[in-house]
Amino acid sequence: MNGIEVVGLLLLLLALSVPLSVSMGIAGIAYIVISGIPISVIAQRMGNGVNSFPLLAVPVFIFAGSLMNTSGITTRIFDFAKLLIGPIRGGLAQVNVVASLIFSGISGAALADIGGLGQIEIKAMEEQGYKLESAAAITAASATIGPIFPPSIPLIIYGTVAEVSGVKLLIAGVVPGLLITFFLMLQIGYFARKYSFPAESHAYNVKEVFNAFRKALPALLAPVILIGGLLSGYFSPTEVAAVTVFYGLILGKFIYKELTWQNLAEVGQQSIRQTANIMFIISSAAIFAFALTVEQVHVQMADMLLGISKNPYVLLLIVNLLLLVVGMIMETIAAILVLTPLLVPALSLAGVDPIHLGVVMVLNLMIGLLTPPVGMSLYMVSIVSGAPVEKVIRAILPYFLPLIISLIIVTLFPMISTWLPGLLF
Amino acid sequence: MDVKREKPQVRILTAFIQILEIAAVFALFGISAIIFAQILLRNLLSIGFPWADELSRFLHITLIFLTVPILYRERIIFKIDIFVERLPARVQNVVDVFASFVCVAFSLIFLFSFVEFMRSSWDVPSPALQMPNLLFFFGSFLGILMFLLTSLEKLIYDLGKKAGESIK
Repeated sequence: MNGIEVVGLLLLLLALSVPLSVSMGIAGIAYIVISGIPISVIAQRMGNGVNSFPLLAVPVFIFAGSLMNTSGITTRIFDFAKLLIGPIRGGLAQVNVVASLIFSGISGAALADIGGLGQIEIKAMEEQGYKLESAAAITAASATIGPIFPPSIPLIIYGTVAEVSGVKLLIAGVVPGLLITFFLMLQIGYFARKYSFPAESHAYNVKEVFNAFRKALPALLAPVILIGGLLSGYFSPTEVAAVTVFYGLILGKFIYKELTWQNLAEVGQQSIRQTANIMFIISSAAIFAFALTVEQVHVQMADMLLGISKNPYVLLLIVNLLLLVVGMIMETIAAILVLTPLLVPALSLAGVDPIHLGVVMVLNLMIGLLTPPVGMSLYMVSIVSGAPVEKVIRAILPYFLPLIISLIIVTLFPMISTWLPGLLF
Repeated sequence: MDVKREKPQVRILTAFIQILEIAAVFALFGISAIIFAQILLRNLLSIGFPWADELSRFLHITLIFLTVPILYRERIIFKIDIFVERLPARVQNVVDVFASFVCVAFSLIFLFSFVEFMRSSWDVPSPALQMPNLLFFFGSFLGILMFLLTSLEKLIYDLGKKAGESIK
């Protein structure tokens, strides 16, 4: 059995609706059994695939994101952003983007943004006269900032697989995250004038401004503490996640007083499900990756790519096209696990910085979250808003423009990703 | 599926999975508490716990595998349905049976592999906690054993269901 057959078996099982984790596992197992490799390798690889301290950031960040949504922190962030830029035309649509940027400094996942903040944003936008599908589309598009701006679950997983510094990767996402925010806001500003988006009729007085700021301040401090902790070297990315959890607990229980024991138990139940869904794939991917490694598929891939061109920009263009297609049919984490070991060696040989490649990959796959058939953000926002997926797909099309422009800029100018980590570390 | 849950063996399976869920939630709380305590002790009191890293990794492995049967039973385990959904109902049923069978086979192979892995290294201690391998990875064995049972439950259901009937 060769590497191509292993990949073929995976795709066949996936098409037959076998769970992704099991499909990867069976493809790897088939190779191990046929090659006569001791069967004990399966349990050993699967256990050790998740026996990693950096990967602990994933469950703890998922827990932190759910906790923030339950403890009233998300509402305060939204209220503050609304106050900041709500009064301009299309203000609530801009608030949606700014609130996503602030929330992304706490949570590391797009779906946590849509599931928590999205509910509040869509409701408020609909009440102000936005079309339901437009509100849903803007929410899904702005949620792509979450996994780019630190912290980021996909970047942590990429860092573990590519053996790249997690802290450098997270910091590398700061400027690209701001860039996406800027382009999304620019697009919304243009649409606000062109399509006469609603504006907030209520004029805020100084007292209201002060009150909203006072209430939001503890929540706004969360990203500052976390990024400050990362930069100062006090915490590793995994530890940042634990600090976020405890900060969220203190805010929810003692400051905002919205977190009950029952809520906490529900958050725990929700978090273990999300964690296991991701980490079981990672565990099974360990035997799949083992089969590909033994078969030297990464070397073949490197030879093939370098045979096409040795120019890093041409290779990045090919990778972008590949990832855009993969992002349509594959879940983000699975795509990172399968493609990172194949792409990093080839692109590193061509002179592409693995940190730059990580940001490009994650941004690309986040755009994939907005494309059918496996567009998880699309389905999530459809569930949260109640708008049919087909309508959301149509409404989201214009917002691909700022995202694709951001992707092209981030791809062509590596400094956007590498400048800040280079400056700080 | 609800009808089947009334059977004693299904009730026992449900009760056992609920216990695993509680254990997994406590494992998550435990991981967060251990990592946070480690930061406080290191930065405030200059005390390091060499076992904290290992204990949190043990809880992490346990959490993941204990939750797998829950994902499968609640049909929230990640899979791609878009191709199968386009097939006629009868073919969909055949594909469902096949997918359940693959899950059963996967679980059985994993359990066999676990036994083989432990046969030679069950007593190898972990560096800090001196926890034997058997205990360190026991969560994976227990979780996949329960995954086997839930896969069998689904396979039996799939074999008995009529064309077009769905539990999703």
